[in-house]
Amino acid sequence: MDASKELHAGAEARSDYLEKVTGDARFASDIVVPGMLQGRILRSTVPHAKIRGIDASGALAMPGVVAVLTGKDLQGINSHWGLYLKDRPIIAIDRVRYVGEPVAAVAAIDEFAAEEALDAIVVDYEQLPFVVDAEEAMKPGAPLLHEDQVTQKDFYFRGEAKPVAGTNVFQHYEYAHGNVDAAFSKAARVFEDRFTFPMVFHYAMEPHVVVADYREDSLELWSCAQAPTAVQKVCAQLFGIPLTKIRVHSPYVGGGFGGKASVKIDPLVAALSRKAGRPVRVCLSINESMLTCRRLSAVIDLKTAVDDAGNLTAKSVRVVMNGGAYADTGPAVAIKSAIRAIGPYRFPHLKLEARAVYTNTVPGAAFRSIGGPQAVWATESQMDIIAAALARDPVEFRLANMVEKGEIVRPDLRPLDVDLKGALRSAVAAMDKVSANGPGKCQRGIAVAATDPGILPIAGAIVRLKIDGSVIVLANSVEIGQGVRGALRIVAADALNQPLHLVTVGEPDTEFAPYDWGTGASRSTVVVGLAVQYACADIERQVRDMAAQVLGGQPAQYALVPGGVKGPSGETGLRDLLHRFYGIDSGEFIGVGRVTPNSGQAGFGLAPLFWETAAGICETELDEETGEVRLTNYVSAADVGRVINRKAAEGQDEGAAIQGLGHALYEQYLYEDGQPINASLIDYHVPTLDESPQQMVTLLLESGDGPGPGGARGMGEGGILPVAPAIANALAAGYGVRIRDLPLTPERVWLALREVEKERKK
Amino acid sequence: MNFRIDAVLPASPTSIWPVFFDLGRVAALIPGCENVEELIPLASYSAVMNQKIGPFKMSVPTQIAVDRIEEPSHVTLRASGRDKFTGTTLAVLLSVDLEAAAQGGTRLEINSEIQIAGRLASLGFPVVKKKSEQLFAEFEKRLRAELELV
Repeated sequence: MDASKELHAGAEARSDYLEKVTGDARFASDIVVPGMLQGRILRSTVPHAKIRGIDASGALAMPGVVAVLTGKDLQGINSHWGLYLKDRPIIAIDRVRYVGEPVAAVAAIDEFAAEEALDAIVVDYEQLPFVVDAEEAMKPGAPLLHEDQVTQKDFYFRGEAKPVAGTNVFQHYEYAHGNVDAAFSKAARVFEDRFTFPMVFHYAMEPHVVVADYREDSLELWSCAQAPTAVQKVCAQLFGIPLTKIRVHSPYVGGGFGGKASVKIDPLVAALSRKAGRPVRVCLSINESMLTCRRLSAVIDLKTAVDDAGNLTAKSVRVVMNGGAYADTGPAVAIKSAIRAIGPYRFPHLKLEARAVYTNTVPGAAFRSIGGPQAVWATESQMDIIAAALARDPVEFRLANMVEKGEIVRPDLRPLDVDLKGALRSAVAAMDKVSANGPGKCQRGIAVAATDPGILPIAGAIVRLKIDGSVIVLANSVEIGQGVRGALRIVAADALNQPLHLVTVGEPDTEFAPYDWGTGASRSTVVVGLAVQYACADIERQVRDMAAQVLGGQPAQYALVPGGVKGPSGETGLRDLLHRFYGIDSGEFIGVGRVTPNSGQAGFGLAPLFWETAAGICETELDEETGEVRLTNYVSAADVGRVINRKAAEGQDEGAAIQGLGHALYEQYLYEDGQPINASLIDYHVPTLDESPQQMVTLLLESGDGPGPGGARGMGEGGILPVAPAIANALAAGYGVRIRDLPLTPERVWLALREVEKERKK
Repeated sequence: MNFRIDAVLPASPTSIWPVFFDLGRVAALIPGCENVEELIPLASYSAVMNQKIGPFKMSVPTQIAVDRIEEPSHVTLRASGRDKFTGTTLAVLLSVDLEAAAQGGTRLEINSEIQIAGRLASLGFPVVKKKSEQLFAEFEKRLRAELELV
């Protein structure tokens, strides 16, 4: 791709930068459809209750109110949906299971009328016992949230959830190789630790927003969803409309982080439009988005054995995740958390177990590196605990036990395809350099991670090369701020050898762009990028064939050049070529690219498609009087295969690290009496610029051997993983404080410091 | 929120018991509880709870239902209501147990589960919780004083 630098000189790959800063960018909330109403949602105020009745007559009598949707309106359609388990009603029917669950929705001529009408709806609840904690929810006699657990096999992810009948467990995953019990009994040392990770919010700047236009036999949506084809599929199942009659547009999305992955509010807005008989826009507040989904919290128990030489020999991982009131993608999150807790280490004996559990809380959902931050928090904290107990340097201890590139972590998974040892060494060297320039009074901590992105190799793209040399790429990869349109633009420009400024990537639209599984799991640049490459190769083949037919010679003698084709007799413009072929001054080339499990030289059927790894090193300062931790310096390193757009890639990695900083120091949902008591921007804190590190280095290593375009590997999620354990490890190294629960709030750190003082005095 | 009162009172259970069934007398002990009406004797009552929480004034029409009575030792009652203005709902489950103490007098145990839900609870739970604690503490103080008169 080196030639691309000259070809694209001076051009900015991401057109959204300028559109966003000038206010020209179009988001779903900007969409106006003729006759459109505004919708607002009445939410459950109680954690668990039967609905005895809903009186909406007062709301319907108010000026400007057109319709009120309640569970009674779901008759005649399929009322329940889900990705793994069909457990969620479009809107509560006869029961609510968490504070914030939609109970009624109002469509009115404006948002004010709709909001006012909510207060006039009276819901009669019969309260039921509730449970907020996952381990409590697993106990016999705990309130049962769902009596029936209807699974859907291979519906969104491959496979099927394994719920435990008659309990709140909606996923139970187990894996083992070797014999951990025998290995523990023979081990020189065995370490057992419990770690907890709280519920945290995605905090995308744009809340959930959908415009739906339900007609008699069709449905059109403008959605913030990260997976428009999943929205299409779920709505088709619910409303009984053919896929071709459901059209989903994906304008710019103001951040997703998994909170808009799969399907969220689209069925509800579609049902409200169906009831109102008019298009409806529903734009949640951020407070409401906090009641829509969040990361699954986790309790992780690790038991790890080492031999006399300090080699890791066995590991047992037990994860219990709080999945909230509805399963969503929680079954996949639970599996990934168990796998990601292995770490990039060699374990001859391994046992994994994960459960995801229903509770009366906001539904858990996918979030940047599903299950990863929870797992890596536990594993990388414990790696330092073990290293300290064995009097080993934490870097050296990790390197001694880390798998090499090409070595397996688990026999059924693709061997590690990156040099993580090299990445860790690079990060250490970079931090040494940063420290040399810094204040030199900080404590250092490290952590690494290797995760297996759950990427299904299903993607498609259509590319059209016009007579004037301009190019348009059509794909259903959603621009959620990560820069995918820019990346695809570069890939198409390079593959077709056309200048970047003539390449456009269209707004995703299921009516025109081919099927794509969805935007997430660090997959778009790799699999959709490849689909674009394949589509461009299809075009190149067509151009060569046409050139050979029109100009003479063999197809192989021709190659694309900017604006034309070059062959034995020199360059010919595309316009001239098409004119001569069709006999008029018109025409275009259309290429189609598909990625399937059979794609790629090594085959894309083996999971993971690539390993996403990360090495993070932090230097922190601690105010011992207040317990306040400050991240002073941070180095993040990852082998991303090939950087397609450096500015955007660095932004992804740095953004992930700052999001990880929030998880580490500040963020958590707080529940009291079944009520989420800090679900607002006033009470829930994410890092500000002030709290960001003074020095931050991002090392994007390019081995060039990933499965994507130019050897690219996916990235954007890995950077979030090492931050929390690295900071906790720095606190342990510097102050003897080992904290096993996140976030590392000043109160928690201060109390831990006092405990250490007490122990020292004894 | 769960609240509990434990006390040993000098009077016998049978002499304390009537206090809990003179609803006007009990209502006077609950700060802000007004307009108590008996709908069905020993079964159903209505009242209005007037409270000021932070900047919000709430007026909660409350229905009270007696779930179980075992004279003179046990009563369970439920109260529920909704403030129209703030959309705040109140649900209380209260149980009172009276038991003759071995050394004489009565062992009193009151257990109360209070759920406050709605916008106020979501946005200002710490304030709501503090107010509830204050109300219950005041109720306990007044009840003890009242029972000392028995």
